[in-house]
Amino acid sequence: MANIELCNVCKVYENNNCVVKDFNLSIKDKEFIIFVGPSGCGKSTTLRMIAGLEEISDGELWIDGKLCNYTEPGERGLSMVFQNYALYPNMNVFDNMAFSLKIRKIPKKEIKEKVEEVAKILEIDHLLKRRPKELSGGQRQRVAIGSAIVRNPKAFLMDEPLSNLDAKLRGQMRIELAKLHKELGTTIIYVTHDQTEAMTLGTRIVVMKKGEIQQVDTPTNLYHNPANLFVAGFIGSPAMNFFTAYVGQISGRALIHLDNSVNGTILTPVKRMERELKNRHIGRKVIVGIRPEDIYELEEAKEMGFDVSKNIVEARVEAREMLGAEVVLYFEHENGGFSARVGADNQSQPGDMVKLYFDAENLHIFDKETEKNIFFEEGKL
Amino acid sequence: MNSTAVAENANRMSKEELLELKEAMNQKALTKKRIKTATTIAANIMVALVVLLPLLYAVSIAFMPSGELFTTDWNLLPKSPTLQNFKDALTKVPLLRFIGNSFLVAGCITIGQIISCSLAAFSFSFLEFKGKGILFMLVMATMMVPGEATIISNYLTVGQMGILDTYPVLILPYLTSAMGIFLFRQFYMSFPASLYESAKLDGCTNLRFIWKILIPLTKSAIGAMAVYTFINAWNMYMWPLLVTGSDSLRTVQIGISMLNSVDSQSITTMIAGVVMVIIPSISIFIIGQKQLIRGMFSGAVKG
Repeated sequence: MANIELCNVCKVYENNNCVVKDFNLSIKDKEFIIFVGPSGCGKSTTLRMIAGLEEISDGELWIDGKLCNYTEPGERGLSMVFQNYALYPNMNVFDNMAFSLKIRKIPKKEIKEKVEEVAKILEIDHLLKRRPKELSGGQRQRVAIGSAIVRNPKAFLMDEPLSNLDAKLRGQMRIELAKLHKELGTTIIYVTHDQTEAMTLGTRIVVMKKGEIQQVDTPTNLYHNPANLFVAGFIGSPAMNFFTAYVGQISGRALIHLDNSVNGTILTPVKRMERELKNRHIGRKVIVGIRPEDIYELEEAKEMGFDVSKNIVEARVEAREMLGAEVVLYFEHENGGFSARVGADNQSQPGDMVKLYFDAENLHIFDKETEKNIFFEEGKL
Repeated sequence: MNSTAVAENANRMSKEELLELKEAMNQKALTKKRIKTATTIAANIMVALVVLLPLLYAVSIAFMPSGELFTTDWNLLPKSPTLQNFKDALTKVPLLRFIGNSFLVAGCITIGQIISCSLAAFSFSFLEFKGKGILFMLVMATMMVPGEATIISNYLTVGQMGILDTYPVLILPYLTSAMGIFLFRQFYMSFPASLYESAKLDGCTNLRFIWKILIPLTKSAIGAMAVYTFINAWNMYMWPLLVTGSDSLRTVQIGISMLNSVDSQSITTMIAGVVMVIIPSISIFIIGQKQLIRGMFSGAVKG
């Protein structure tokens, strides 16, 4: 229902404190865009600027081709769902949902029909007479979403709407939000710090850090093709393992030597990486990243048919976390700790020395200085 | 482990023994509780009597014939109670008219202060504008200036306006108060900002937000403010004395002093007048005490 464009949007507070820098993003109709990042990264501020609750210090905001920098929040045609629901405590559920329609002087009969229709979709039609304080957290959140839907907005803005709910309810609401997005076919801009929400809900994710966009991409691309060290470390749980290393050359082959490694652990990159490393990075410091699921125990790797003659790292198990379907092992290593996600039948215990195979196909190599992914391909996959 | 031990104890006793033990323990706890309650009530009655003695004595005097008051005997209660003092008070001065005047003035001041203070507090807590902090400090600073210090300049101002000896002169200078603004602001500060933001996104204007959401949710603050302002306005003495001259505009507090000067010997008549005059303010306080306490302390702690 709406195309939203942000061009060079900045937010600077009084003491020259710049919380959002040069934010450029084009949001297409029906997209589910997620702003994700650590707290204080400017994601909520950006959302509030789109809503009109914060002034835009610099840059332009276009909604459906109309410059909206100076448009009043109520006239932008957007709805917002707040973290603490923001339901009017003095009104019952029906009045809460009908409030914005009453302001617009829509006929009573139409309001009633609309509210009841939305309440039915959200399964809160039996709660219409209740006050917000008589509802549970999940029900309140549904009412808040319902109030947003009845307005038929151009886009929904959601500011960490699930963070006040318990884990189980959050999971349920996540599925319902995805369903709702499909049913309503509206643009949704969603702020969260929870990467599970980001990965499962978003059609595109905007990863932010210190007010700057780090990468805008689909969840799959963010995971497999992170633009830089920050994105690689932020997306994924347990987080990607990082090792400082330098690129050397032995008998014409580019090899990655892990730092501080007394036994001289060497990783052999796959062919597609080797050429680039040989051409531009020989003798340079890099950071090697590998996700926990790309590390296998030697036996497991053999069974899976990997070439185990190289890329073997030996390390001592420091801790073991049994997660039911899988086990996460935490290792000590001269180069710092790292983790591996292995099968539930794995028997390694803390203190054991274990030989591990690093799947070189899934190595991520970052420039040490710029922290950029050397093999980043825009629009890959 | 623990529950097993308890279960073992229970098993060792017969049902009757267990019942007896429970009964004995219950009796002991009950007695202790009763003693505690009785002590608290007794202490409260004692303190209340001491605190209320002047007031109760005044009520008692109001029913005494004037001859009974000045004796060397123990005269806490009237020996031959009479309503004559009340009749005298009502006939010597137009006390009912004064009470009416006071009601009108205190009522207008209360309504005026609630409107002006809540609007000012709204802008201090919800709106963003330059110099907000300084302006608020300035408003708060006026609380440090005693009323007596401004009374002359206020008198000259209203004199120039030509409204001396009218109802407006009793009401106008008190239509707002820094204390009221502060009270409302503190209350609004505990209000979730997202409610205001949500209303703005719904297309709600500021006035509509105040009327539809803020006022219904701040009833207790309004109640507290109303009681506080009404009692203050009811008890005003200096300003009405200064700016009104005719009997038809006098308020009750001045009326009482008139009772004193008309017949200086009749203390009983004056006390009867006082008793009549304090009835409205006490009843307002009794009606609004819950609101007053809730309003005064809400927002003081996060809850």
